[in-house]
Amino acid sequence: MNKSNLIVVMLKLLLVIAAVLFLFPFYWMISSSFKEMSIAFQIPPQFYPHHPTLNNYIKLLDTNAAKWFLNSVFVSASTTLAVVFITSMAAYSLAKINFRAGKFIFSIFVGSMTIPGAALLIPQFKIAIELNLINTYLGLIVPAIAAPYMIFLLRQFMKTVPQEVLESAKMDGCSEMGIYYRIMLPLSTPGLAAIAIFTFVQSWNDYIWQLLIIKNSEMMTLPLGVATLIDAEAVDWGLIMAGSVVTSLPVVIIFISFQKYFVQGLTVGAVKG
Amino acid sequence: MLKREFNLLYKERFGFLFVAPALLFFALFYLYPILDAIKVSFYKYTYYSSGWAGIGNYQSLLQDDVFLRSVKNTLLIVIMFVPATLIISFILSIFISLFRTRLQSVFKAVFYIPAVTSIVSITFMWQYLLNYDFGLLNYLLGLFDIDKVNFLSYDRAIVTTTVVVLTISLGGPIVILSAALGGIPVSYYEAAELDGASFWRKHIRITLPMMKPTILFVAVTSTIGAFQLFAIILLFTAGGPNYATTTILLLLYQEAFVNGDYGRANAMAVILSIIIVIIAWLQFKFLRTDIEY
Repeated sequence: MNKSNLIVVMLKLLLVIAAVLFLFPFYWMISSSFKEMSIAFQIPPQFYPHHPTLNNYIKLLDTNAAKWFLNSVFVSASTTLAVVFITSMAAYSLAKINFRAGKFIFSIFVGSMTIPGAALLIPQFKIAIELNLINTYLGLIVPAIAAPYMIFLLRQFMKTVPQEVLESAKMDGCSEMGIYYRIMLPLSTPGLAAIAIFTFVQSWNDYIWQLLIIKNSEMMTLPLGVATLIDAEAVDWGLIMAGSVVTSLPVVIIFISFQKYFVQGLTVGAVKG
Repeated sequence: MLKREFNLLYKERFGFLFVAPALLFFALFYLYPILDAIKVSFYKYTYYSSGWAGIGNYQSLLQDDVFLRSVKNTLLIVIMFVPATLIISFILSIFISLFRTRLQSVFKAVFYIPAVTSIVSITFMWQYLLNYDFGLLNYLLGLFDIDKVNFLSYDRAIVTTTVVVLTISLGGPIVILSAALGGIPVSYYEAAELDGASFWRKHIRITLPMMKPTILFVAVTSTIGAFQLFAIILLFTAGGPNYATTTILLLLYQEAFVNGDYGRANAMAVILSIIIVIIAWLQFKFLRTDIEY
């Protein structure tokens, strides 16, 4: 083995160590969720639960957790549907229809991406009050439909569809609506998948906006609900870790199943940004 | 003349029709809020009183030690976060490229998982690991006879917070840099190998310059991202202890939703947005000149 190969092997090993370190906190979260309350506080800690228990998950069911889970699914799925529908039309217009205002509209969308979302919380909250959106699911869904980043991503995808395909469809007498529905949508499935997954994950993981909008426990989503578990007088880490697992597992599964689309979504913005 | 304009607009109607729904939501929840934030920043706007304030909110902010502290904290996080993101994600993506394609996706997934995990889970996970009394990390330090560390003390909280934030934000840059790395023609490296270039030399002489546009992209987006960090800090430290981790956005949130002073809070939003735009613009201007050679 020469020197260069030795370096490569050592670097590979280093990467494996880094990956293990990255995953370890997650291992700790999951393993602690199967520990009794007293064990979760114990020093020295048990590196794996010697007597694994489901008690924390059973305790979680005594809270509103099942309701929170359903609320999260409903809100994230509705948001995703709405965003995909509205974004795909806008992206089609900005990518493929030649009109004078198009460039200007697109540059406004892109420019708005530098404004920190949190800086707009106050005026957005005022609008939510005006529109009676406080403590409603619509209040979580409607503001998320404005998604300039998703429009930007999908437009970059749709740009890559060859113009000739659209031209020949037009020759055959296809209407604009028909081109959008029969040609653009099917041809940009990977892009649609990418924005759908991004939106779902974003909506599922949102916290601050939901905190402002939702006022009672019944209406809460998983992140909001699980965050209230720590308010209890004695912090029950086993229970909190179980709540954290339930909150993060669905999106991690989605991520692992659709990793390809995540990667495409992330890189299309970078390469042609 | 007017007729021609109408004809043109009629011809262009589909462009408008398709973008209209998105534009409507965007106007309602982005454009109007931006204008409203700017407007309200010039007003006295609290629970008790309202009225024109001119630049009063801005003046009082610039004389407010807590606000200046929050600006300092924000910049400190950016200064630690951006170079760390660039260096670590660059090195890790080179390491990842040494593996076969299949394993490459596994590693990218590992580093990206924290980015898709709810910040509520992330926060609790780290608070538990870093706990002073029974946290695993302090136990492990104890095994090496190191005294217990209070990771969230006044002096350490901002560094600890930045490190936690780093663990959840490296995934995107790694994926993006890996894609750029994969796009560099293998023949460049082969030529360098024939010339007897070492491993490091190859990457410094070939990879780094070839990837400059992508690195610039990551630099700009991670800078903007660092300025926009908010929810994770609110959950992790709530800005404490004693303002040690209070960033502009945290102070803005407290000012608006705890103290109810929308005028001052919106003035902070305007100041922050101006800082972000200026810095993003400077990065583009200075880093861009080196790309084109």
